[in-house]
Amino acid sequence: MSGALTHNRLGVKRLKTSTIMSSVMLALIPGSILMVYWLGPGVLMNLTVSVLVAVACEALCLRCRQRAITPMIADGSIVLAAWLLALCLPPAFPFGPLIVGTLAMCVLGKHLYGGLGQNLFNPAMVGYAVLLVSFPTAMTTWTQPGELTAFNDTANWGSWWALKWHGVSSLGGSWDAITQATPLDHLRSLERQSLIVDVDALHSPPWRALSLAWLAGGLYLLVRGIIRWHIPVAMLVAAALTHLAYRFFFPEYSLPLLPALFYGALMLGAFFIATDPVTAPSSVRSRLCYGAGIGVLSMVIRTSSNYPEGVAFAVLLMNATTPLLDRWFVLDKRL
Amino acid sequence: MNHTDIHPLSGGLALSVPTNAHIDATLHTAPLAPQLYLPLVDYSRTVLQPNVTLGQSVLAGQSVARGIIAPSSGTITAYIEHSWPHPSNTQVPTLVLQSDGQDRFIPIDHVHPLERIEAAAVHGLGGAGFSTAAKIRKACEFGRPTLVVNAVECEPGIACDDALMQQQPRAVLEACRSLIELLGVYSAQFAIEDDKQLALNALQACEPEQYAVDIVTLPVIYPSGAEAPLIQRLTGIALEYDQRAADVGVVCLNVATVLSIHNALQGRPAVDRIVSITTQDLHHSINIRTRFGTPVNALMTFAASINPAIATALQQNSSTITVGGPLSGFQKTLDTSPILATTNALLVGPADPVPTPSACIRCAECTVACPVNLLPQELYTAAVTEDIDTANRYLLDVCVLCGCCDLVCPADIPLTSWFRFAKDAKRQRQQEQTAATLARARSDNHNERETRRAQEKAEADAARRAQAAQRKESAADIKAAIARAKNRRPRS
Ligand code: SF4
Ligand code: SF4
Repeated sequence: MSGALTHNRLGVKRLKTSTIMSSVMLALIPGSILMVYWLGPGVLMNLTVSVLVAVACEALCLRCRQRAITPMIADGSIVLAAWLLALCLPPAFPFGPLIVGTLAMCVLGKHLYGGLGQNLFNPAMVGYAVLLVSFPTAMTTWTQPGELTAFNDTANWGSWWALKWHGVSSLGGSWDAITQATPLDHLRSLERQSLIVDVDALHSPPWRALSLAWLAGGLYLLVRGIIRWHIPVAMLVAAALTHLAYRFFFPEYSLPLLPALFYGALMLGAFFIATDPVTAPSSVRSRLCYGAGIGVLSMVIRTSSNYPEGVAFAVLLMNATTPLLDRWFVLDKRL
Repeated sequence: MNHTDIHPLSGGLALSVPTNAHIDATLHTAPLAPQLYLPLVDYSRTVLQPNVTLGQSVLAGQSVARGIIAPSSGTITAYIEHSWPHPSNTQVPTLVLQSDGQDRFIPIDHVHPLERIEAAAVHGLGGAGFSTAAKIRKACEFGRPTLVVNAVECEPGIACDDALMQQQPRAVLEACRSLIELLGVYSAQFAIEDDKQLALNALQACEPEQYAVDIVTLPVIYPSGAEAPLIQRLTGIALEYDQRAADVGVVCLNVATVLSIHNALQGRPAVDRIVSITTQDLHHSINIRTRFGTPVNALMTFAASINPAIATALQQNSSTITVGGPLSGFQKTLDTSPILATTNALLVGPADPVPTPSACIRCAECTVACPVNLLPQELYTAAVTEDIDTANRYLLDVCVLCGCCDLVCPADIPLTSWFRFAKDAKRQRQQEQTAATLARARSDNHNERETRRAQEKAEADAARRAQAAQRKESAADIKAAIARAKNRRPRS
């Protein structure tokens, strides 16, 4: 082995795996704080439980596979995955399913493939898909932003605790008042009923602000050189074009472009999920192709299927094409 | 040609060297070692048959095996398994030459210049150590090739070409001219990086135009000195995975090799090269003209005697050295392994501790850094599992072992070492296959011979039998005739 392996030897900037993971987490912080602020302690509970369960499960898996435990946990990859999963879940999502989802993420999504770097599918999205298929109602029941969010009110924490253990029914008849389908779902049902949509009223500021926070985090990662621009840009451009095409051919999908891009998980997906290095392809062209694929599929699934949000499935579908894209483009480039 | 004509390289790294490095461009000459070791393997690791006998005295330049010559005069005293500067840490069949100290040369006086180059055993002094005569022959098939003289010595810590150009600029340019004449081309493109100001000044002072040499300065990017990246930067042509420079009509020769060719044409065999000896921290570097076959430890002792910094470094770590530069080199125990045509530099001193590699996170930083557009992470997976077919699919052969991918990998994976290993494994496997094919061919031949022999024998037998039968028949005929005659007689 050559002696060149030290950091920044010969003036070449080199990131450590743990630096990459921790920078991504740093970039997630503003959005996460905003989410906790708008949606209440439920989000915080999701995050805590998911991360704790994931770390424990990771340690157990590594132990069973007879690998060194500490360095693998210290690289932060599992914490990041759990964090991303938790951000995709509704605040009132019960603990039981949450644990199931986290375990699925860790075992199905990661260790069955051979651990870090070997998995074909994004672990957080595997966990999300498992949950969406297994607990469709719980996954699509979101509390209204601004409800039950006071942090200094013990009664409030009590309600959340009950909510998390016993589900939304624990609040009795009043739960209807504080829940809604996912914001997008809500929007879509209004659209489908051809109601006159006052876009501004639906523009619930939290969602837009949240998307902006993800965008800001993503830009930070770009500037730091942690991610490269190809996947997010390709994904957002493709999503925008797909949306415009929908609008052109089916004018009843009347959501203007920017709200469409700033709703839902597109921003989070573009900068934090689709860019997961392990499951994304490597060469520039394959990355562009991959990002564009996710963008198109997200919009198609979101608009034409019964699922409220398409990013997760789009990412999983494109993950499956990663080896193909890589081989295709690298060989194509050379042959 | 100026910078705007230089094509970009996708990948590669802008390295920075220690600014206070002390590079001694004087050309020292190592004393002739009493024992020279000549490994009998060619660049593809095929073992060569010696064509000398034990105890035979040889002259410098005399062939001892195909493509290998004695670097000095003396006696062949042994034929042993001996270590050589190769990352595999293996031993190979080696001739030991006890030099007689008189250094008598055999004259090279073949009429045909290519034969002269071949007889002088000129090998590439830059990269893989290919036979130069073969390279030129291939280029000549092309008609009038583009001649590129490669003086892009881009890896920090290696300054042998730099020193050569600074010390002997006129000899270098003359060598270029004789190569231009040999190839029948109009001019040579002399590629050199723009940070070698002293060498550039020395060359410019000798008026390169008079030698039909066109000096092309390139902005520094590592590894522009490797053949494929250099051709891409000069011509914009990215070589295909199965192409060599000659296939696109370019003959690309290292500047020291060009001088060797020139010397060969003048009748002097290629018996030495310049070796850079540099401390691991790249702060001190000296250049020593060394006979091939000189044991590395003898050379080190000499280097330590002329440079105190190297002596200190050697004291701090007298067990291992790095053969090659800090990126492309490999570690080797310091022993009597000989200096070969490809040994361009030796790094001495305490090496940096090798960090423990972690799992590849497929971040593709290596892909971005790779100068020849490979997917090192896929190659790595293939190399670790010794899956040579997959490695081939990901174009293992194209890898120039530059070490760029190592330098950027966040998981600290020693990728280049793995690729070196995979290339070696592949070569070995090919050799086994060739051996098997040969053996099969031999046994097929043998079987065929046997069958043919049996067939011939059977045919001959049949013929004999037929003849015998015929004879019997004719004998019977005669008997019958006689009998008939006898029978007839009384009647008549
Ligand atoms: S740079 Fe290292 S970790 Fe990143 S893809 Fe390449 S081998 Fe894997
Ligand atoms: S060592 Fe090989 S794979 Fe790595 S960067 Fe250099 S050419 Fe590419």
